[in-house]
Amino acid sequence: MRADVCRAAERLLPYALTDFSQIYVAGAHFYFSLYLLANGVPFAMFEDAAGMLSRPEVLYEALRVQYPQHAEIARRHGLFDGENPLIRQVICLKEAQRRDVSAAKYRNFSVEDALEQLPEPKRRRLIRFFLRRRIRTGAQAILLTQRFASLGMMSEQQQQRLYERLRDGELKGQRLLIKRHPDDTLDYAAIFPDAEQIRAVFPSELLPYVFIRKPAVVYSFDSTGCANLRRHFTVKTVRRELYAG
Amino acid sequence: MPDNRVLLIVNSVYHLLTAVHMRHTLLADADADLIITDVTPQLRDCLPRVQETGLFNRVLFAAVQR
Repeated sequence: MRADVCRAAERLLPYALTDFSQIYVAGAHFYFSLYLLANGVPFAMFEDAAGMLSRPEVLYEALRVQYPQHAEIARRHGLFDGENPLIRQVICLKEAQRRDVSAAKYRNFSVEDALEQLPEPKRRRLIRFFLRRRIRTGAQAILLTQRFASLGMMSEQQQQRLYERLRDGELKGQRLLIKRHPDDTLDYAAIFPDAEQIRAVFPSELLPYVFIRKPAVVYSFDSTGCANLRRHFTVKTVRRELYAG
Repeated sequence: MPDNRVLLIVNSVYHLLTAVHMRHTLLADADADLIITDVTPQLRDCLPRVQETGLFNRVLFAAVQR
């Protein structure tokens, strides 16, 4: 695998790694990090999603379902939790962690704070990068979906049943807007025929800024995106075990 | 090794947001290149917009999905 990864990376890169003073890898458990490790190149990593640094087992299990060998290699090399000695800096949302991140290696990065602190024109430019126009909606609440099936945590049928039960339970009677996870392929228009859908693909961290009038509540099972939304919405975390069957 | 020339690799829209934001802040003075992978297939749609912004010297797309 090491030789395959190196060949693929060398085909892709039109320059040498030594051309760079610093390399930042977001999603350090994917292949590119193996190329860096094979070449002894130090790098900085972004955590995969808010709080995910403290939940390496979630990333491991998701990868293991489709690529067991890759998952083992990534775990052995400390790529899920940033423990590899070649990872010199870990950029993460510190308040979302359940482990000690006080060492100098860990650098706090809060997308929510960063967006709040940006001057309005800069923030607008950043938002327009993902979304051309503001969203007009009459919904009371947003449902952030998750990609349980594509992570191998359940079958697509089970995921569909999970959201059908949620529709008939806690969300019954709510005017809803569905914000689908970018990697979630389920047909939510079929499950929630009366709900509005957000078609554009953008990070949920931008939700506070994309509406003409924003809904008050965000529902999700345990989407990592919620860690960056709590100051802007009432976030309701739904217990998955109540609706799984 | 050149001073302040950085390479960023992103695999999701959250990563891309972080990278674009860092380009405006922590890495504002850096000379930065970006690699976007197809781990999140929809990221390919963002490629022309990333290139249009001129935020990164070079933007590469990497097909890594088997």
